[in-house]
Amino acid sequence: MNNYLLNLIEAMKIALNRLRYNLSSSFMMFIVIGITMCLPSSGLLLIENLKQLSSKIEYQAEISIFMKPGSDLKIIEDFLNEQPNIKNIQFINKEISWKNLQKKLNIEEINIVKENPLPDSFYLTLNTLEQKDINFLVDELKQFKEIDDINVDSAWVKKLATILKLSKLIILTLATLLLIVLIVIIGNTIRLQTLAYKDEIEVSKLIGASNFFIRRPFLFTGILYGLGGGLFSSLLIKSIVYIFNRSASNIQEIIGFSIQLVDLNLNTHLMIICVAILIGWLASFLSATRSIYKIDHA
Amino acid sequence: MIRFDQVFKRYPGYQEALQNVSFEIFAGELVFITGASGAGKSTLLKILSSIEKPTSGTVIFENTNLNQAKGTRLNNIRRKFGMVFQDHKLLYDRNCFENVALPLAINNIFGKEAEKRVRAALDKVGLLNKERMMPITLSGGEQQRLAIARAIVCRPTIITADEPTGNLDKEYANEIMNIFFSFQQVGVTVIISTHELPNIPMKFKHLHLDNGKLIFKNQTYEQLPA
Repeated sequence: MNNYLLNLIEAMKIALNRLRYNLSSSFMMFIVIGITMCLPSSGLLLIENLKQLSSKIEYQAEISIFMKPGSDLKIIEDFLNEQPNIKNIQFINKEISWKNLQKKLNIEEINIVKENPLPDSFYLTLNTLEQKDINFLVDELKQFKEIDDINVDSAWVKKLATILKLSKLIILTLATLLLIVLIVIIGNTIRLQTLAYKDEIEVSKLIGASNFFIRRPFLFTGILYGLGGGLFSSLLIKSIVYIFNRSASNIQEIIGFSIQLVDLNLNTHLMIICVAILIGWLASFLSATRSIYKIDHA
Repeated sequence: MIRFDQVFKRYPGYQEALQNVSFEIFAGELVFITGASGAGKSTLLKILSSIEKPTSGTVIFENTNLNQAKGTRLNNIRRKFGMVFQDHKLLYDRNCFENVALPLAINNIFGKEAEKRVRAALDKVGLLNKERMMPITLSGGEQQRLAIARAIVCRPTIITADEPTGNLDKEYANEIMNIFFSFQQVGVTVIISTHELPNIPMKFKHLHLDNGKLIFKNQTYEQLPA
């Protein structure tokens, strides 16, 4: 085990030396991986911000319940109070509604309509975006004979949810394509490295080195490329957020409201770095294995 | 220790490099394989060191059939050999110390033990004062000695050398040969391929190849210095 660790440390040293000897090309590699990773990460940033925006306004989604004249309000009120998806209940009796309407239409002094035509009503503010939950609540309410009509104001919620789903799908597709591009780029770089170290591979094979021993420094190189690229990508995302927020605060006075991007959380940043490392490892593994096989069978 | 039994080797598109070669080498022997260019010396050494496999026939090394050795088993067999190649096969981006340390790393030997062994090997070939130099700065003879240091650093039981003095002048060639003889004297099996037999004051086995055929095999031949 001790020897195995020493072997790993040795391979890591070799990989670090190779990066050091090719510092400019290694740095270019970090930039390429960083920018490529940054594209889907920016999409993720956009989705996260849209999600947060939608979560701020989803509580304004309302259900209006119109009661039948003379019905028992207490039963409905009790039922509504028990529902977990309702954030706020506002009851407006028909007299107040009528006065409000008259005031709004400016017909308070004209007694054209003798009788108040408006019903008692409940206005519910929901705390969910889930269409399933909204439908369930509406179905429950429809069971009450005291209720005359229910008006659900959630069409925009559906649209937003669909847009978010579609955006996620687009970003996922884009990310998959870019990850393939990254594997090809890193793999090609590692392939060129294996050609540069062809003599070393040949000699090592001749004196009894296992493929794993030969592959190890290349794997570490791939991992280091991934780590550098991932860190660069994370830094780019942070820079984008910083620059955007700084510019947005400058134009806040002009447009009258504040737009601020919220940075991805630490876990997501770590995930981006881990994905980059994984891609670096995978690409170098595939490329080094193939190259060693070719050299071995040349 | 090593037994060749009716070994044939044919490269695709070429005539047979080895034809019906059979011989035995015992532990601690000094063996010279001679023959003209293209006679099959290098091929024989490659098969013997398990770098290549014969087209037919059997090669037995320490009760293991080399034809069937693969993967880890093959690597383990190769690690028992100290190989010196005609073109040295040194790593020119690593210094002398690092070149010699490579087989130790392959055998999982690191740290102080590795340093001790590398220095001992370099000392043995007279290159201890050049351990931090790059191989490219060494003369041909020194490069060959460095290759020998790399071959012996893991204390192999067999050393094979493919024309180790081919590109050297007489003075360097004698120096190199003397290093090999010193290993044979401490019980290491030494197998050397060469164009001509050197003048050596000791017993050795001589295998002569001509167009891939083993012409004769003297079991214990002693040649006195001229």
